[in-house]
Amino acid sequence: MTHDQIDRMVRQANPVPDPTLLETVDVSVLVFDEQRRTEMQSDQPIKTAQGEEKPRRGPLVGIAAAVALVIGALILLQSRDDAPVADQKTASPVEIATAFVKAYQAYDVDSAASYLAPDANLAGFGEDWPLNRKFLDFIGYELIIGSCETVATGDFTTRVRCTYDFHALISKEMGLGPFSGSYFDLSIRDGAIVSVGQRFESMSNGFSSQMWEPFAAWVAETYPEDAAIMYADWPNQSLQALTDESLSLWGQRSWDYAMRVTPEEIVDPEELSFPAPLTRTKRGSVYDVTFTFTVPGSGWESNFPDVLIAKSVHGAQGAEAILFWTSFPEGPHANPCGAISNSPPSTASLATAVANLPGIELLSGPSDVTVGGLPAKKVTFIVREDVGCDPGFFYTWRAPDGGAIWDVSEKSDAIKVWFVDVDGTLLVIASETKADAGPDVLAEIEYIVQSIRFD
Amino acid sequence: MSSPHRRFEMLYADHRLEVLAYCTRRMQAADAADACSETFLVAWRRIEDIPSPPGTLPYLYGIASRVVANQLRTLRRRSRLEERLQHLGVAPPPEPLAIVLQNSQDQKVVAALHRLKPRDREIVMLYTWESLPRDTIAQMMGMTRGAIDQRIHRSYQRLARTIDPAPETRRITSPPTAEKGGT
Repeated sequence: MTHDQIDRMVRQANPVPDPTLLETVDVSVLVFDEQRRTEMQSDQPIKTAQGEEKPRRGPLVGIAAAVALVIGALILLQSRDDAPVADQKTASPVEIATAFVKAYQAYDVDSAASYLAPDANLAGFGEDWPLNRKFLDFIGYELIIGSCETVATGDFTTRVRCTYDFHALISKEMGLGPFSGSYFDLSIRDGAIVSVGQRFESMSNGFSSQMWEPFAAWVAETYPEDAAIMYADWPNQSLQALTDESLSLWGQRSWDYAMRVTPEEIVDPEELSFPAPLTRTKRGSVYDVTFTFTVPGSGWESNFPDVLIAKSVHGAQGAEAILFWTSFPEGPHANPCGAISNSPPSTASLATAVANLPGIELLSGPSDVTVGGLPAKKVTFIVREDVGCDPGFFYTWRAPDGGAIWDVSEKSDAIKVWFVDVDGTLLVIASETKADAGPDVLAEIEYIVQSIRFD
Repeated sequence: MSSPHRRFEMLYADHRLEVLAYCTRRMQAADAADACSETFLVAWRRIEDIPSPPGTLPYLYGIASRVVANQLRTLRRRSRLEERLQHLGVAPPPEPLAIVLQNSQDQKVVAALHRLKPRDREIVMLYTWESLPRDTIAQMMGMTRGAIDQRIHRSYQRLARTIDPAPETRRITSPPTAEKGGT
């Protein structure tokens, strides 16, 4: 090797080619700031303002590690024989950086890897990247790309910064976030990416305080046995365990938590993004009560369209969501199971009775809402125990012939019940969803109920 | 003539990032910030001795060099203590999570740099990473320009051997003959 070659290699290896970058870049790309790191390192419990002691729940080591390992996976899986795509030779560094980040956002391994230099590598890469990717999916991680801009230009390398926001831990469905302040720093040389740095912001943007830590506290208090499986560093709760059992619990408990703390709100159907071509108007009836409602998206079907609709989210047959309506106490296909007062029922008394059914975990309500412009009561709960009849379930329903078949209610099913008095008929509208139904289905159910218009 | 406070403020504003970059290139980022602060504390104490530009930055680098060396010695002592604590069952504090991806060539070069002798390594870093002229480096290190040229040249040769070792060559020798006492 010549003197000039060595000189060039050493200069290219400068860890800080441009001191001005130190003004805003976390040069070690620490996940958390120095103070928080110091706090996390202590095993001593934290004293709250009220003098209570609570265990330390470190910041977001786990998710940042998961994100980094996915980046590493993209790099490691690059075929060493692949050359960058032809037009990369003429593409600007910003274009290359933008294309890489978009491919990463879409988990398009092949496309992302094509923008990397052949000798790009990941320090600290592990074998857990498939499980980490699964973890990110389970907790509803969503990356929202901001902008990519050149921040420094050297003799050989151009550094581009791409900002992004993110959702995680079902924050989107809970109406929180997105959380900003994160970015990738990419160094581009000769039309290829030679290094990638990342700042994953979780503290100053509120993600740790609004999502990670409250969730950790809730799951530790509500499901301590599950928490011990979910967190690799239990009881510190800063790193997820990467076992199939743990990830299954992460998916379930993330959604349980979202259901638990999502505030009651009336969803304005017009605010939901369902274009007209994607909606259908249907009719329902209970005795003399007839009404229309709008079904968004696709997948809602029924063999008893007057009384129920159901949707299969996963697979061909079993439904993960059902929405049906009946009346109390004489409603067709009603099979009440629970201690209901014998006194003349009202929406309030029914809602109270349902909220106190055995074997359930009450999430919210009874609360005052409107359905079809009429005052109504709403109760939301999760089935927790089998108490001898469809556990905690007020009405059971079966659709016998194919399609999205709703079987019986089970533990961990989430149930929402609306009670509305329509000209003296006590209408009961109930939805039930499986734990893995997903947030979209819940949003659709809210949309449908809010679209009801009584004739 | 400006007051010492004002001079220091200007000094800090003009060179903080360069000194921080110097420290960051040689230490962990969290420790580099401490070293940078310590450097300017020393500079404040010696505010009257700091030369005017263009000698200001090399002077600060000189201070930083000694500060970094002291801190690295402290860190090594701490590391040995942590090792002993580990054997006693006391877990050391976790390292900060660093997610920096570099290509393998850069990693190889940095590793090769760290195999140079400390003085030679510092000379090469000042020349290539701080981009200082050789005359300035000579002044900083208290050496002649010729000595600096020689050190850089020899260091580059060592780096070349470390980064891209050439195939070993064998000297072919003829077999021993009876006249030479062989059998």
